[in-house]
Amino acid sequence: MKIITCYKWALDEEDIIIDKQSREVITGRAKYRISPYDRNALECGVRFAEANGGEIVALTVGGPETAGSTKDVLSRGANRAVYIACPELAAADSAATSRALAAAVNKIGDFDLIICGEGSSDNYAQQTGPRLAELLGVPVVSYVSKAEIEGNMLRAERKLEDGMEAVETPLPALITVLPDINEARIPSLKQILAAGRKPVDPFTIEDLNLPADMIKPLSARLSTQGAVTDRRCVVLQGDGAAIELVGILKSEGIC
Amino acid sequence: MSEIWIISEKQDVMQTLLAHAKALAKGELIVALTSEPAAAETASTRGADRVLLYQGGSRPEAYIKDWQALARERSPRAILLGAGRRAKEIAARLAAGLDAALISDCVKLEYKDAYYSERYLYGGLCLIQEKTEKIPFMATMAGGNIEAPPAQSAVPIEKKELSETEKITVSDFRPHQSATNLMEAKAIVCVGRGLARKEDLALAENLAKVLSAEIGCTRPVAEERQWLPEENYIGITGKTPSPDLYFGLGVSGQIQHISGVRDSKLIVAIEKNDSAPILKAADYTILGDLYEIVPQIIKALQM
Repeated sequence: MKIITCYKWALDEEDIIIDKQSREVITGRAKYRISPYDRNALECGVRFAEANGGEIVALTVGGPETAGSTKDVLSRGANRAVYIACPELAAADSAATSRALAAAVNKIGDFDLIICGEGSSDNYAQQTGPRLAELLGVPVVSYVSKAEIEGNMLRAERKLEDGMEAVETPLPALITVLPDINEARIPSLKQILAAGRKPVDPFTIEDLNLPADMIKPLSARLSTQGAVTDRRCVVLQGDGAAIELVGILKSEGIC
Repeated sequence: MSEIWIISEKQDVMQTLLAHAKALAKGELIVALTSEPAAAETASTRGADRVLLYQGGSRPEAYIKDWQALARERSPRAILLGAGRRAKEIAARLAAGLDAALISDCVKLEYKDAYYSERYLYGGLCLIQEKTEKIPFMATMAGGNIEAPPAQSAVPIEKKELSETEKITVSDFRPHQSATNLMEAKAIVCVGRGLARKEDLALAENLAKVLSAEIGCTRPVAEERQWLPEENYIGITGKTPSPDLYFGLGVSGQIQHISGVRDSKLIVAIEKNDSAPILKAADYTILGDLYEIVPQIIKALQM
Protein backbone atom coordinates (compact mmCIF):
# COMPACT_ATOMS: atom_id res chain seq x y z
CA MET A 1 0.00 0.00 0.00
CA LYS A 2 1.03 3.58 -0.56
CA ILE A 3 0.89 5.96 2.37
CA ILE A 4 1.52 9.68 2.21
CA THR A 5 2.32 11.36 5.52
CA CYS A 6 2.20 15.15 5.54
CA TYR A 7 4.33 17.22 7.86
CA LYS A 8 5.12 20.84 8.58
CA TRP A 9 8.62 22.24 9.04
CA ALA A 10 7.81 24.73 11.80
CA LEU A 11 9.68 27.06 14.13
CA ASP A 12 10.33 25.64 17.59
CA GLU A 13 8.31 28.00 19.79
CA GLU A 14 10.48 27.28 22.82
CA ASP A 15 13.17 29.52 21.37
CA ILE A 16 10.88 32.36 20.36
CA ILE A 17 11.39 35.40 22.56
CA ILE A 18 8.82 38.06 23.34
CA ASP A 19 10.16 41.51 24.11
CA LYS A 20 8.34 42.51 27.28
CA GLN A 21 8.31 46.23 26.46
CA SER A 22 7.43 46.32 22.79
CA ARG A 23 5.68 42.91 22.68
CA GLU A 24 7.74 42.21 19.57
CA VAL A 25 8.02 38.54 18.60
CA ILE A 26 11.69 37.69 18.09
CA THR A 27 12.22 34.49 16.11
CA GLY A 28 15.93 34.98 15.35
CA ARG A 29 17.13 32.25 17.69
CA ALA A 30 14.40 29.74 16.92
CA LYS A 31 15.15 26.75 14.72
CA TYR A 32 12.90 24.84 12.39
CA ARG A 33 11.95 21.28 13.23
CA ILE A 34 9.19 18.85 12.30
CA SER A 35 5.98 19.90 14.03
CA PRO A 36 5.73 17.44 16.96
CA TYR A 37 2.22 16.25 16.07
CA ASP A 38 3.51 15.22 12.65
CA ARG A 39 6.08 12.91 14.25
CA ASN A 40 3.12 10.82 15.41
CA ALA A 41 1.56 10.97 11.94
CA LEU A 42 4.78 9.66 10.37
CA GLU A 43 5.14 6.99 13.07
CA CYS A 44 1.56 5.90 12.38
CA GLY A 45 2.44 5.47 8.69
CA VAL A 46 5.61 3.54 9.52
CA ARG A 47 3.66 1.13 11.73
CA PHE A 48 1.04 0.53 9.03
CA ALA A 49 3.80 -0.17 6.51
CA GLU A 50 5.53 -2.54 8.96
CA ALA A 51 2.26 -4.44 9.45
CA ASN A 52 0.88 -4.40 5.91
CA GLY A 53 3.91 -3.73 3.72
CA GLY A 54 4.13 -0.67 1.52
CA GLU A 55 5.78 2.59 0.79
CA ILE A 56 5.72 5.84 2.78
CA VAL A 57 6.09 9.17 1.07
CA ALA A 58 6.69 12.09 3.44
CA LEU A 59 5.29 15.29 1.96
CA THR A 60 5.61 18.92 2.96
CA VAL A 61 5.14 22.39 1.51
CA GLY A 62 6.50 25.66 2.88
CA GLY A 63 9.05 28.44 2.62
CA PRO A 64 12.60 27.93 1.28
CA GLU A 65 13.82 26.50 4.64
CA THR A 66 11.54 23.50 4.09
CA ALA A 67 14.10 22.05 1.68
CA GLY A 68 16.30 21.26 4.69
CA SER A 69 13.71 19.02 6.31
CA THR A 70 14.01 15.82 4.29
CA LYS A 71 16.81 14.10 6.18
CA ASP A 72 14.82 14.31 9.40
CA VAL A 73 11.70 12.64 7.99
CA LEU A 74 13.66 10.06 6.03
CA SER A 75 15.47 9.02 9.22
CA ARG A 76 12.07 8.55 10.88
CA GLY A 77 11.14 5.80 8.43
CA ALA A 78 9.76 7.45 5.28
CA ASN A 79 10.96 5.79 2.05
CA ARG A 80 10.87 8.93 -0.03
CA ALA A 81 10.52 12.64 0.64
CA VAL A 82 8.66 15.12 -1.56
CA TYR A 83 8.57 18.84 -0.92
CA ILE A 84 7.64 22.19 -2.40
CA ALA A 85 9.84 24.93 -0.93
CA CYS A 86 9.44 28.47 -2.21
CA PRO A 87 9.05 32.02 -0.91
CA GLU A 88 5.43 32.15 -2.14
CA LEU A 89 4.54 29.45 0.39
CA ALA A 90 6.41 31.01 3.34
CA ALA A 91 3.27 32.77 4.62
CA ALA A 92 0.82 30.09 3.49
CA ASP A 93 -2.39 29.72 5.49
CA SER A 94 -4.29 26.43 5.75
CA ALA A 95 -6.14 27.09 2.49
CA ALA A 96 -2.94 27.69 0.52
CA THR A 97 -1.13 24.81 2.22
CA SER A 98 -3.93 22.35 1.48
CA ARG A 99 -4.12 23.45 -2.15
CA ALA A 100 -0.37 23.02 -2.63
CA LEU A 101 -0.48 19.64 -0.87
CA ALA A 102 -3.41 18.52 -3.04
CA ALA A 103 -1.51 19.43 -6.21
CA ALA A 104 1.54 17.51 -4.96
CA VAL A 105 -0.57 14.47 -3.99
CA ASN A 106 -2.10 14.43 -7.48
CA LYS A 107 1.38 14.41 -8.97
CA ILE A 108 2.57 11.65 -6.62
CA GLY A 109 -0.37 9.62 -7.91
CA ASP A 110 -2.45 6.77 -6.49
CA PHE A 111 -2.43 6.48 -2.72
CA ASP A 112 -4.27 4.37 -0.17
CA LEU A 113 -3.97 6.57 2.87
CA ILE A 114 -2.88 10.09 3.77
CA ILE A 115 -1.93 10.79 7.38
CA CYS A 116 -1.66 14.27 8.89
CA GLY A 117 -1.13 15.47 12.44
CA GLU A 118 -4.24 16.94 14.10
CA GLY A 119 -2.75 20.43 13.80
CA SER A 120 0.61 22.19 13.57
CA SER A 121 2.61 23.46 16.53
CA ASP A 122 2.72 27.03 15.20
CA ASN A 123 -0.73 27.77 13.76
CA TYR A 124 -2.67 24.91 15.31
CA ALA A 125 -5.59 25.83 13.05
CA GLN A 126 -6.41 22.12 12.59
CA GLN A 127 -7.65 22.75 9.07
CA THR A 128 -5.07 21.38 6.66
CA GLY A 129 -5.96 17.68 6.93
CA PRO A 130 -9.74 18.03 6.51
CA ARG A 131 -9.30 20.69 3.81
CA LEU A 132 -6.90 18.44 1.89
CA ALA A 133 -9.33 15.51 2.06
CA GLU A 134 -12.15 17.70 0.78
CA LEU A 135 -10.04 18.99 -2.12
CA LEU A 136 -9.06 15.42 -3.04
CA GLY A 137 -12.63 14.16 -2.60
CA VAL A 138 -11.71 11.38 -0.14
CA PRO A 139 -13.29 10.59 3.25
CA VAL A 140 -11.58 12.08 6.30
CA VAL A 141 -11.43 10.77 9.86
CA SER A 142 -10.09 13.46 12.19
CA TYR A 143 -8.71 13.32 15.75
CA VAL A 144 -7.85 9.63 15.51
CA SER A 145 -6.41 7.95 18.60
CA LYS A 146 -6.51 4.40 17.28
CA ALA A 147 -6.55 3.02 13.74
CA GLU A 148 -6.23 -0.29 11.92
CA ILE A 149 -6.39 -1.36 8.31
CA GLU A 150 -8.03 -4.56 7.14
CA GLY A 151 -8.05 -5.13 3.41
CA ASN A 152 -9.56 -2.05 1.86
CA MET A 153 -11.17 -0.79 5.09
CA LEU A 154 -9.85 1.53 7.75
CA ARG A 155 -11.28 1.30 11.23
CA ALA A 156 -10.56 4.19 13.54
CA GLU A 157 -11.52 5.70 16.85
CA ARG A 158 -11.97 9.45 17.06
CA LYS A 159 -11.46 11.04 20.43
CA LEU A 160 -14.07 13.79 20.74
CA GLU A 161 -14.82 16.06 23.72
CA ASP A 162 -17.86 14.06 24.80
CA GLY A 163 -16.88 10.55 23.83
CA MET A 164 -15.23 8.07 21.50
CA GLU A 165 -16.63 7.66 18.01
CA ALA A 166 -15.71 4.45 16.20
CA VAL A 167 -15.91 4.68 12.41
CA GLU A 168 -15.16 2.66 9.31
CA THR A 169 -14.26 3.98 5.91
CA PRO A 170 -13.15 2.49 2.61
CA LEU A 171 -9.68 3.48 1.34
CA PRO A 172 -8.39 5.73 -0.09
CA ALA A 173 -8.97 8.04 2.85
CA LEU A 174 -7.24 10.67 4.99
CA ILE A 175 -6.82 10.61 8.75
CA THR A 176 -5.58 13.26 11.17
CA VAL A 177 -4.02 11.74 14.27
CA LEU A 178 -3.72 12.78 17.90
CA PRO A 179 -0.34 12.51 19.66
CA ASP A 180 -1.63 9.69 21.86
CA ILE A 181 -2.04 7.34 18.87
CA ASN A 182 1.56 6.17 19.41
CA GLU A 183 4.91 7.06 20.85
CA ALA A 184 7.12 8.26 18.00
CA ARG A 185 10.46 6.43 18.02
CA ILE A 186 13.72 8.34 18.04
CA PRO A 187 15.71 7.59 14.86
CA SER A 188 18.69 5.26 15.35
CA LEU A 189 22.16 6.13 14.08
CA LYS A 190 21.70 3.54 11.33
CA GLN A 191 18.45 5.20 10.24
CA ILE A 192 20.06 8.62 10.25
CA LEU A 193 22.90 7.39 8.05
CA ALA A 194 20.53 5.54 5.70
CA ALA A 195 18.39 8.68 5.32
CA GLY A 196 21.07 10.32 3.18
CA ARG A 197 20.69 7.59 0.53
CA LYS A 198 16.89 7.73 0.19
CA PRO A 199 15.23 9.52 -2.75
CA VAL A 200 14.17 13.15 -2.42
CA ASP A 201 11.89 14.86 -4.98
CA PRO A 202 11.63 18.62 -4.96
CA PHE A 203 8.44 19.73 -6.77
CA THR A 204 8.02 23.33 -7.86
CA ILE A 205 4.87 25.40 -8.11
CA GLU A 206 5.60 25.71 -11.84
CA ASP A 207 5.67 21.87 -12.18
CA LEU A 208 2.31 21.71 -10.47
CA ASN A 209 0.72 24.59 -12.38
CA LEU A 210 -0.07 26.40 -9.17
CA PRO A 211 -0.72 30.07 -9.96
CA ALA A 212 0.37 32.56 -7.30
CA ASP A 213 -3.19 33.56 -6.37
CA MET A 214 -4.01 29.90 -5.55
CA ILE A 215 -1.42 29.90 -2.77
CA LYS A 216 -1.96 33.39 -1.39
CA PRO A 217 -3.36 33.66 2.17
CA LEU A 218 -7.09 34.45 2.18
CA SER A 219 -6.79 36.88 5.11
CA ALA A 220 -4.34 39.75 5.52
CA ARG A 221 -2.15 39.67 8.61
CA LEU A 222 -2.32 43.07 10.29
CA SER A 223 -0.12 42.48 13.33
CA THR A 224 1.61 39.80 15.37
CA GLN A 225 2.27 40.64 18.99
CA GLY A 226 3.50 38.77 22.03
CA ALA A 227 0.61 37.84 24.31
CA VAL A 228 0.88 39.77 27.55
CA THR A 229 0.94 37.89 30.81
CA ASP A 230 0.53 40.28 33.68
CA ARG A 231 1.71 38.13 36.56
CA ARG A 232 3.49 39.11 39.75
CA CYS A 233 6.27 36.51 39.34
CA VAL A 234 7.14 36.38 43.04
CA VAL A 235 9.43 33.51 44.06
CA LEU A 236 9.21 32.21 47.63
CA GLN A 237 11.76 29.88 49.16
CA GLY A 238 13.01 28.55 52.44
CA ASP A 239 11.33 27.32 55.61
CA GLY A 240 8.54 29.85 55.88
CA ALA A 241 7.48 29.68 52.22
CA ALA A 242 4.48 27.38 52.69
CA ILE A 243 3.02 29.48 55.51
CA GLU A 244 3.72 32.67 53.61
CA LEU A 245 1.85 31.35 50.55
CA VAL A 246 -1.15 30.30 52.62
CA GLY A 247 -1.17 33.80 54.15
CA ILE A 248 -1.27 35.28 50.64
CA LEU A 249 -4.10 32.95 49.55
CA LYS A 250 -6.09 34.00 52.63
CA SER A 251 -5.49 37.70 52.10
CA GLU A 252 -6.59 37.28 48.46
CA GLY A 253 -9.83 35.83 49.79
CA ILE A 254 -9.24 32.54 47.99
CA CYS A 255 -9.45 30.28 51.03
CA MET B 1 -31.49 39.68 2.21
CA SER B 2 -27.99 38.60 3.17
CA GLU B 3 -27.40 36.05 5.90
CA ILE B 4 -25.04 35.09 8.71
CA TRP B 5 -24.99 31.36 9.42
CA ILE B 6 -24.35 29.62 12.70
CA ILE B 7 -23.89 25.85 12.84
CA SER B 8 -23.86 23.62 15.91
CA GLU B 9 -25.43 20.45 17.27
CA LYS B 10 -24.89 21.62 20.86
CA GLN B 11 -27.28 23.88 22.77
CA ASP B 12 -24.66 25.82 24.73
CA VAL B 13 -22.55 26.42 21.63
CA MET B 14 -25.64 27.46 19.66
CA GLN B 15 -26.40 30.05 22.33
CA THR B 16 -22.87 31.47 22.24
CA LEU B 17 -22.90 31.56 18.44
CA LEU B 18 -26.22 33.44 18.45
CA ALA B 19 -24.62 36.09 20.66
CA HIS B 20 -21.59 36.34 18.35
CA ALA B 21 -23.77 36.51 15.24
CA LYS B 22 -25.93 39.28 16.76
CA ALA B 23 -22.83 41.29 17.60
CA LEU B 24 -21.56 40.83 14.05
CA ALA B 25 -24.79 41.43 12.12
CA LYS B 26 -25.33 44.66 10.25
CA GLY B 27 -28.86 43.88 9.20
CA GLU B 28 -28.21 40.32 8.01
CA LEU B 29 -30.64 37.52 8.85
CA ILE B 30 -29.26 35.00 11.33
CA VAL B 31 -29.78 31.46 10.05
CA ALA B 32 -29.11 28.54 12.39
CA LEU B 33 -28.28 25.12 10.94
CA THR B 34 -28.27 22.07 13.17
CA SER B 35 -28.82 18.32 13.30
CA GLU B 36 -30.17 18.24 16.87
CA PRO B 37 -33.76 19.14 17.81
CA ALA B 38 -32.64 20.58 21.18
CA ALA B 39 -30.15 22.95 19.54
CA ALA B 40 -32.82 23.91 16.98
CA GLU B 41 -35.15 24.77 19.87
CA THR B 42 -32.45 26.96 21.45
CA ALA B 43 -31.88 28.79 18.18
CA SER B 44 -35.60 29.21 17.62
CA THR B 45 -36.24 30.82 21.01
CA ARG B 46 -33.03 32.86 21.34
CA GLY B 47 -33.14 35.10 18.34
CA ALA B 48 -32.35 33.22 15.13
CA ASP B 49 -34.39 34.47 12.17
CA ARG B 50 -34.52 31.05 10.52
CA VAL B 51 -33.79 27.60 11.91
CA LEU B 52 -33.01 24.63 9.68
CA LEU B 53 -33.05 21.22 11.34
CA TYR B 54 -31.35 18.49 9.32
CA GLN B 55 -32.26 14.86 9.90
CA GLY B 56 -31.47 11.47 8.41
CA GLY B 57 -27.70 11.38 8.93
CA SER B 58 -25.85 9.43 11.60
CA ARG B 59 -23.76 12.41 12.76
CA PRO B 60 -23.42 16.18 12.16
CA GLU B 61 -20.58 15.69 9.65
CA ALA B 62 -23.05 13.91 7.35
CA TYR B 63 -24.63 17.22 6.27
CA ILE B 64 -21.49 18.97 5.05
CA LYS B 65 -22.39 18.39 1.38
CA ASP B 66 -25.92 19.75 1.91
CA TRP B 67 -24.58 22.81 3.72
CA GLN B 68 -22.00 23.47 0.99
CA ALA B 69 -24.72 23.30 -1.65
CA LEU B 70 -27.01 25.62 0.32
CA ALA B 71 -24.15 28.06 0.94
CA ARG B 72 -23.50 28.25 -2.81
CA GLU B 73 -27.15 29.05 -3.33
CA ARG B 74 -27.64 31.54 -0.46
CA SER B 75 -24.13 33.11 -0.32
CA PRO B 76 -24.04 33.85 3.43
CA ARG B 77 -21.63 36.64 4.38
CA ALA B 78 -20.27 34.80 7.41
CA ILE B 79 -20.45 31.28 8.85
CA LEU B 80 -19.64 30.73 12.54
CA LEU B 81 -19.13 27.42 14.33
CA GLY B 82 -17.93 26.31 17.77
CA ALA B 83 -14.35 25.24 18.46
CA GLY B 84 -14.99 21.61 19.39
CA ARG B 85 -13.38 18.83 17.37
CA ARG B 86 -16.45 17.95 15.28
CA ALA B 87 -17.09 21.62 14.58
CA LYS B 88 -13.46 22.13 13.54
CA GLU B 89 -13.66 19.33 10.99
CA ILE B 90 -17.01 20.53 9.64
CA ALA B 91 -15.72 24.10 9.38
CA ALA B 92 -12.51 23.13 7.57
CA ARG B 93 -14.34 20.94 5.05
CA LEU B 94 -17.01 23.57 4.42
CA ALA B 95 -14.30 26.19 3.97
CA ALA B 96 -12.37 24.02 1.49
CA GLY B 97 -15.52 23.45 -0.56
CA LEU B 98 -16.49 27.13 -0.49
CA ASP B 99 -12.93 28.37 -0.95
CA ALA B 100 -13.37 30.43 2.20
CA ALA B 101 -11.00 31.89 4.77
CA LEU B 102 -11.48 30.21 8.14
CA ILE B 103 -10.15 31.64 11.41
CA SER B 104 -9.68 28.82 13.93
CA ASP B 105 -10.22 29.42 17.65
CA CYS B 106 -11.12 33.04 17.04
CA VAL B 107 -10.96 35.03 20.30
CA LYS B 108 -12.15 38.40 19.00
CA LEU B 109 -14.28 39.24 16.00
CA GLU B 110 -15.58 42.48 14.62
CA TYR B 111 -17.05 43.73 11.36
CA LYS B 112 -16.14 47.20 10.09
CA ASP B 113 -15.28 47.51 6.41
CA ALA B 114 -14.18 43.85 6.54
CA TYR B 115 -14.01 41.05 9.13
CA TYR B 116 -11.33 41.72 11.76
CA SER B 117 -10.31 38.75 13.87
CA GLU B 118 -7.78 37.77 16.52
CA ARG B 119 -6.31 34.38 17.40
CA TYR B 120 -3.30 32.95 19.21
CA LEU B 121 -0.24 31.43 17.57
CA TYR B 122 2.63 29.27 18.86
CA GLY B 123 0.62 27.69 21.63
CA GLY B 124 -0.53 31.05 22.96
CA LEU B 125 2.80 32.85 22.81
CA CYS B 126 1.52 35.53 20.46
CA LEU B 127 -1.66 37.03 19.18
CA ILE B 128 -2.32 37.83 15.52
CA GLN B 129 -4.84 40.21 14.07
CA GLU B 130 -6.17 39.50 10.62
CA LYS B 131 -8.46 41.23 8.17
CA THR B 132 -10.64 39.20 5.81
CA GLU B 133 -12.50 40.70 2.89
CA LYS B 134 -13.34 37.46 1.08
CA ILE B 135 -16.94 36.26 1.46
CA PRO B 136 -18.03 33.99 3.05
CA PHE B 137 -15.90 34.72 6.10
CA MET B 138 -15.71 31.72 8.40
CA ALA B 139 -14.59 31.26 12.01
CA THR B 140 -14.64 28.69 14.77
CA MET B 141 -15.24 30.68 17.93
CA ALA B 142 -13.11 29.85 20.98
CA GLY B 143 -15.08 29.52 24.20
CA GLY B 144 -15.14 32.68 26.25
CA ASN B 145 -17.43 34.90 28.14
CA ILE B 146 -20.20 36.21 25.99
CA GLU B 147 -23.63 36.78 27.43
CA ALA B 148 -26.42 34.53 26.17
CA PRO B 149 -29.02 36.39 24.12
CA PRO B 150 -32.42 36.89 25.81
CA ALA B 151 -35.37 34.62 25.08
CA GLN B 152 -37.61 35.75 22.22
CA SER B 153 -40.79 34.52 20.61
CA ALA B 154 -40.03 31.29 18.77
CA VAL B 155 -39.55 31.12 15.02
CA PRO B 156 -40.68 27.95 13.24
CA ILE B 157 -38.18 25.11 12.86
CA GLU B 158 -37.88 24.06 9.21
CA LYS B 159 -37.08 20.37 8.70
CA LYS B 160 -34.61 19.26 6.05
CA GLU B 161 -33.63 15.77 4.94
CA LEU B 162 -30.12 14.48 4.29
CA SER B 163 -29.61 14.21 0.54
CA GLU B 164 -26.67 11.83 0.26
CA THR B 165 -25.15 9.38 2.79
CA GLU B 166 -21.44 9.73 3.50
CA LYS B 167 -18.87 7.00 2.84
CA ILE B 168 -17.93 6.82 6.50
CA THR B 169 -20.07 4.65 8.75
CA VAL B 170 -20.27 5.15 12.50
CA SER B 171 -20.08 1.78 14.23
CA ASP B 172 -20.12 2.91 17.85
CA PHE B 173 -20.17 5.93 20.14
CA ARG B 174 -19.05 5.63 23.74
CA PRO B 175 -19.69 8.75 25.85
CA HIS B 176 -16.92 9.73 28.29
CA GLN B 177 -17.70 8.86 31.88
CA SER B 178 -16.06 11.95 33.22
CA ALA B 179 -16.53 13.22 36.73
CA THR B 180 -14.41 16.31 36.29
CA ASN B 181 -15.92 19.73 36.48
CA LEU B 182 -12.84 21.73 35.53
CA MET B 183 -14.58 24.41 33.53
CA GLU B 184 -16.77 25.51 36.45
CA ALA B 185 -14.16 25.02 39.19
CA LYS B 186 -13.26 27.95 41.46
CA ALA B 187 -9.92 26.33 42.23
CA ILE B 188 -7.80 23.82 40.34
CA VAL B 189 -4.83 21.79 41.53
CA CYS B 190 -2.89 20.87 38.42
CA VAL B 191 -0.45 17.97 38.25
CA GLY B 192 2.62 18.13 36.01
CA ARG B 193 5.50 15.83 35.19
CA GLY B 194 7.27 16.86 38.37
CA LEU B 195 5.13 14.34 40.21
CA ALA B 196 7.27 11.20 40.39
CA ARG B 197 4.76 8.36 40.73
CA LYS B 198 1.10 7.77 40.00
CA GLU B 199 0.52 6.98 43.70
CA ASP B 200 1.58 10.54 44.48
CA LEU B 201 -1.66 11.78 42.95
CA ALA B 202 -2.98 11.23 46.49
CA LEU B 203 -0.87 14.21 47.58
CA ALA B 204 -2.50 16.40 44.93
CA GLU B 205 -5.92 15.09 45.91
CA ASN B 206 -5.31 15.95 49.56
CA LEU B 207 -4.38 19.49 48.63
CA ALA B 208 -7.40 19.69 46.32
CA LYS B 209 -9.64 18.59 49.17
CA VAL B 210 -8.58 21.38 51.53
CA LEU B 211 -8.83 23.95 48.73
CA SER B 212 -12.17 22.56 47.46
CA ALA B 213 -10.42 22.26 44.12
CA GLU B 214 -10.80 20.07 41.06
CA ILE B 215 -7.80 18.11 39.76
CA GLY B 216 -6.34 18.95 36.37
CA CYS B 217 -3.13 17.93 34.68
CA THR B 218 -0.78 18.75 31.82
CA ARG B 219 -1.05 17.02 28.45
CA PRO B 220 1.84 14.54 29.00
CA VAL B 221 0.37 13.43 32.33
CA ALA B 222 -2.87 12.49 30.56
CA GLU B 223 -1.54 11.27 27.22
CA GLU B 224 1.91 9.83 27.81
CA ARG B 225 1.60 8.65 31.41
CA GLN B 226 -2.17 8.20 31.30
CA TRP B 227 -2.46 8.90 35.01
CA LEU B 228 -5.62 10.95 34.56
CA PRO B 229 -8.34 10.92 31.90
CA GLU B 230 -7.79 13.13 28.88
CA GLU B 231 -10.77 15.28 29.91
CA ASN B 232 -8.61 16.51 32.78
CA TYR B 233 -5.79 17.99 30.79
CA ILE B 234 -5.45 21.75 30.62
CA GLY B 235 -3.87 23.72 27.82
CA ILE B 236 -4.56 25.53 24.61
CA THR B 237 -5.18 22.15 22.94
CA GLY B 238 -7.35 20.90 25.82
CA LYS B 239 -9.47 22.50 28.53
CA THR B 240 -9.09 26.24 29.03
CA PRO B 241 -10.70 26.99 32.42
CA SER B 242 -10.59 30.32 34.25
CA PRO B 243 -10.60 29.56 38.00
CA ASP B 244 -9.92 32.01 40.84
CA LEU B 245 -6.95 29.86 41.83
CA TYR B 246 -4.71 27.69 39.66
CA PHE B 247 -2.25 25.70 41.76
CA GLY B 248 0.47 23.91 39.78
CA LEU B 249 2.38 20.98 41.27
CA GLY B 250 5.51 20.06 39.36
CA VAL B 251 4.24 21.95 36.32
CA SER B 252 7.21 23.37 34.41
CA GLY B 253 5.02 25.87 32.58
CA GLN B 254 5.21 25.12 28.86
CA ILE B 255 3.46 27.86 26.91
CA GLN B 256 0.82 25.49 25.47
CA HIS B 257 -0.24 24.61 29.01
CA ILE B 258 -0.04 28.06 30.57
CA SER B 259 -2.04 29.61 27.73
CA GLY B 260 -4.90 27.37 28.77
CA VAL B 261 -5.14 29.07 32.18
CA ARG B 262 -4.29 32.61 31.17
CA ASP B 263 -7.65 33.83 32.50
CA SER B 264 -7.10 32.47 36.03
CA LYS B 265 -7.25 35.14 38.73
CA LEU B 266 -4.24 33.85 40.65
CA ILE B 267 -1.60 31.38 39.47
CA VAL B 268 0.58 29.73 42.10
CA ALA B 269 3.03 26.87 41.72
CA ILE B 270 5.54 24.65 43.43
CA GLU B 271 8.53 23.89 41.25
CA LYS B 272 12.06 22.74 42.02
CA ASN B 273 13.80 23.98 38.86
CA ASP B 274 14.66 27.68 39.17
CA SER B 275 14.86 28.11 35.39
CA ALA B 276 11.41 26.62 34.67
CA PRO B 277 9.14 28.92 32.65
CA ILE B 278 6.42 28.68 35.32
CA LEU B 279 8.41 31.16 37.45
CA LYS B 280 7.65 33.84 34.86
CA ALA B 281 4.06 32.74 34.32
CA ALA B 282 2.90 32.48 37.95
CA ASP B 283 2.00 35.10 40.52
CA TYR B 284 3.71 33.12 43.27
CA THR B 285 6.07 30.17 42.95
CA ILE B 286 7.54 28.27 45.85
CA LEU B 287 10.94 27.06 44.73
CA GLY B 288 11.49 23.65 46.26
CA ASP B 289 10.49 20.03 46.67
CA LEU B 290 6.75 19.61 46.35
CA TYR B 291 6.86 16.45 48.49
CA GLU B 292 8.02 18.56 51.44
CA ILE B 293 6.02 21.68 50.73
CA VAL B 294 2.55 20.31 49.91
CA PRO B 295 2.09 18.69 53.36
CA GLN B 296 3.18 21.97 54.99
CA ILE B 297 0.63 23.88 52.95
CA ILE B 298 -2.15 21.43 53.77
CA LYS B 299 -1.28 21.78 57.46
CA ALA B 300 -1.22 25.58 57.28
CA LEU B 301 -4.55 25.63 55.43
CA GLN B 302 -6.15 23.47 58.12
CA MET B 303 -5.02 25.73 60.95
